[in-house]
Amino acid sequence: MEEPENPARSDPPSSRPRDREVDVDVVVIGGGVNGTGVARDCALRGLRVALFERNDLAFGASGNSSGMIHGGPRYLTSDPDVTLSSCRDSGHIQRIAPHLLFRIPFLMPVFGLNEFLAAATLTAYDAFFEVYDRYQPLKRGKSHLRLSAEELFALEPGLTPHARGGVTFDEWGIDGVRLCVANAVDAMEHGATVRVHTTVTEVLRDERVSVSGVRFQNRRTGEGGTITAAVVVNATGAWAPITATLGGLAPKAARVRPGKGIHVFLDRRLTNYAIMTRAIDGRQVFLLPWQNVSVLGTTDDDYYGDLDRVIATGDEVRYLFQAVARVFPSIWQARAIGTWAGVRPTLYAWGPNEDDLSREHQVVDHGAHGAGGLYSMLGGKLASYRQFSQEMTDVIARRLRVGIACRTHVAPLPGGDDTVDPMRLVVEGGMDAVTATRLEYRHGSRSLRVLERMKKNPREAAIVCACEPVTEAEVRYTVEHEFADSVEDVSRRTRLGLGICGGVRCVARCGRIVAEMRERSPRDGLRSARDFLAIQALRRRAAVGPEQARQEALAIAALRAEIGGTSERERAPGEGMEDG
Amino acid sequence: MSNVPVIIVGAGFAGTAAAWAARRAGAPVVVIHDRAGSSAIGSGALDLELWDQPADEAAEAALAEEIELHAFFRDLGGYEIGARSIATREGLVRRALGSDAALLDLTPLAGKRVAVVDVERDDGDVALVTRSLAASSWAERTGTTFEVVPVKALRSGPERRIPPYDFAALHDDPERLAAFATLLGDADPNADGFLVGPWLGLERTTAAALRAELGKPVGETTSPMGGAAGARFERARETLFLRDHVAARRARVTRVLARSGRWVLEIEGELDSHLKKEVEGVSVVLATGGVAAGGITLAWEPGHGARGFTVPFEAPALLSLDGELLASGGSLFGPTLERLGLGALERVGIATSGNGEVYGAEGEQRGLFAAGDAVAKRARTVLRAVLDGIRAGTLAASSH
Repeated sequence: MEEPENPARSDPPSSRPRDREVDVDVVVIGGGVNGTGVARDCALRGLRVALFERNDLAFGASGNSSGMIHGGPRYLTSDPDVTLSSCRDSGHIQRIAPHLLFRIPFLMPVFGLNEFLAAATLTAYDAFFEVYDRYQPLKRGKSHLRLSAEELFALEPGLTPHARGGVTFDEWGIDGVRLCVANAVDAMEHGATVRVHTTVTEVLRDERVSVSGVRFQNRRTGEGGTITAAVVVNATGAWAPITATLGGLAPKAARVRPGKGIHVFLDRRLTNYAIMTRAIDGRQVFLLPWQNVSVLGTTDDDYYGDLDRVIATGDEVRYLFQAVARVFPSIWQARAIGTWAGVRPTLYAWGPNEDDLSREHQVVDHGAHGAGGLYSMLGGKLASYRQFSQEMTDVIARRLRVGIACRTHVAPLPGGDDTVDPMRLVVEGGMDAVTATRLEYRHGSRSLRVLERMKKNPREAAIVCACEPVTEAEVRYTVEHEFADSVEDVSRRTRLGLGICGGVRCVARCGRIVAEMRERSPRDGLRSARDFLAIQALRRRAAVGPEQARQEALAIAALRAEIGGTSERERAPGEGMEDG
Repeated sequence: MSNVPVIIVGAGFAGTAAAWAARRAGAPVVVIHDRAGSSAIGSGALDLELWDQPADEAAEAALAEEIELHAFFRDLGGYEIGARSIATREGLVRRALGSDAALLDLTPLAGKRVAVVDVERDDGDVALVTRSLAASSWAERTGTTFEVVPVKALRSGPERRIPPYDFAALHDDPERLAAFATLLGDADPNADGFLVGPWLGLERTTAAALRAELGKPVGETTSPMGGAAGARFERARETLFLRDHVAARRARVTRVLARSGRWVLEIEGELDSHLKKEVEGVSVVLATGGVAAGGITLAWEPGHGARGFTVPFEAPALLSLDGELLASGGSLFGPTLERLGLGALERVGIATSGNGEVYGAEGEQRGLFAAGDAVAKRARTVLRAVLDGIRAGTLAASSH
């Protein structure tokens, strides 16, 4: 790599395969699930890769989805191919990252209809899921069941008394952030360079024929440079049209239909099972218990705002609450402790409603736009990321004449190679059972590496975030091995600070640890903590109901006592505050 | 003078000060209080304005003339009034106008060497906090050094992890405190002062006893939510109520209404009874706290939440936010905090007239006062709450 002040290369790099005169074979732009997936696939096939992520890994749609890896009954009638490929790939993901998977048994109650209509609807659901059952073996899912009203209430007593029965169906979920991190770590361990918080400022082109590399800049330090490459992959999701313009292409060369989706998370598991129902406009929405919280989602609306700052709004939150309240009435009293929001990079189409858009994916070769070697990955969904990454890497391999076959469906992701009994972590690390289970869930067999830290320094077994819970050893591990560089980055990887206390008790401590490990001043750590609190306050405030209001006021008071005011009206992110 | 009492609702700093002032004015006082509010979970710092905001120098100067405020804290005990620098648990040095006496005042230690005591509890990342204190602008400006001093003070494994509140209680044992003093002295004989975590006893006398034993400044950082400082406040309050013959009843107020020239409070939940009872008073001070204490609640279920904020009992009290009375708004789901910001949760409160009388639909409610965080648009600080409480208690007693 060369620094920007050096003159640009005068001789255009040829498009010879595996050109040793370029710094890397492939530059991947985007640290979401597709970007990290491609980077991993390329690295496993022996290609030299550099990945650039403008924000953090899993910052966009990948880290803000519900995590369901299904083809989905949603797509069964409109896009059966999506259902097929997603179910098949869901099976592959279970093999390579078994620790990250969790089963989601869904209930779909029928209510608010007379007896005759309810029976007819149940029969229709029954027939529909009969078809879906055929795909279930691909992902080790169970067949559906038809439930009477009594059976339904026995499973879920909080449902509306008007329910007349329902059906069950089986899905799998995954932690999208952990999936991206695992892919990025594996890519790195196979030789790739991963740079987070580093934006590509220009996609370099030779003679307006082919790409030759990218210019980049770290958004935190301001440092930058250029890197030459034979292939550049635009895996920037909803940012794809913006990335295309960095290479001088028209935005429509990599056009998507950006669709914002939000989730609300509630302070406890409100239900035993996930519940699927319909919103006022007929869209399917769900309430699902996950670890120690419940997740309510989702919306799908065209989005024209700032992609670096996508935040749920009050009307989106209320739309979801209203929908679930019809089937689970006590939801209005539930306490929302946060929201997350992302923007889907759906394939472009003018006309259809958001929900009717295809979830298929597509590789665009920009050779036709005078940028040979530049490819954009458009559309897709979490469940089929691996398949999409494989298709993209196959194209790259053909271009670079690399004959090595894809192994991403058989080679375990980091932590997925072996199972660890959480009790071992309890006995050897002195952790409590919940801490050990969570640690094992997030890191799989690599939880043993976190355990090693604790054995070396027992004080790292201390709990930093009690709500989730997260140990000091895990915080340090994410900084050292998972590219975390700020409190928000640590939070994204561990859920630190996202619990019921809103980070009041842990973020300053987390900031101190990150600052120390990065050899920055303690004040920088505090700034990082404040930035996290400020953005989290924005994410929560759209969902402040009766219970959460009191907690917010307490949090403001507690933080004020310890580190000074942090509410969004008082301080813009990054603005420091002198102490007395 | 009749036997009909002045009723104070709430027993945080504002309610306690109001009860104290009404007793001083000669009225019989009944305090009705329920769950813990902001005072019981406070940090131990006494501020007039929020410490991270620019100081109001004129108001601070005037504080010296507030004879009643000084008298209140003298009677309450366990607090020191006067400008000081204290360390927060997150490693900042900040200014305060007074504090719980167990907190270490760093001002006399400026330019000296402060030992930060590490007893190796899980909640104290003392090494990093010390690094933060050493890098604070106060330390740099005054040339003060902060150094970690390990002290083997834990007597069992579980003491690593018990809450600071419980760990604090252990130090009320004189034997344990004396042993701790010896350990401190031996650990760093040359330190000019010792900063410890927020666990120097739940008794107000414990920190002072340690200082006497050691012969050097020693004290706590600020307390976290629900820590020792709040517990010490509650103990001080109980003692004050006993001394001043304030009748304190633990119950929830469900209704406040005027009836034949008196104020009547419906209460329930007293001594775990679900029976509703009535309490009659000549005047009432609502020191029920803000949103944080549950004295003001927010609703958003459609059909119930158009006004959003309410007091959690029936009362002729209107709420106000940023100088405007809250009426039914433009959203069936209550106000949108997206527009107002979360900070609105701190600014919303009961509307009052200039003398602290509650403002209702029919104007000022004679004999019904509000004080402390329950009042709209007032800094949520201890000293403001006490000043408010003293004024409201005095006025409430004058209707006697």
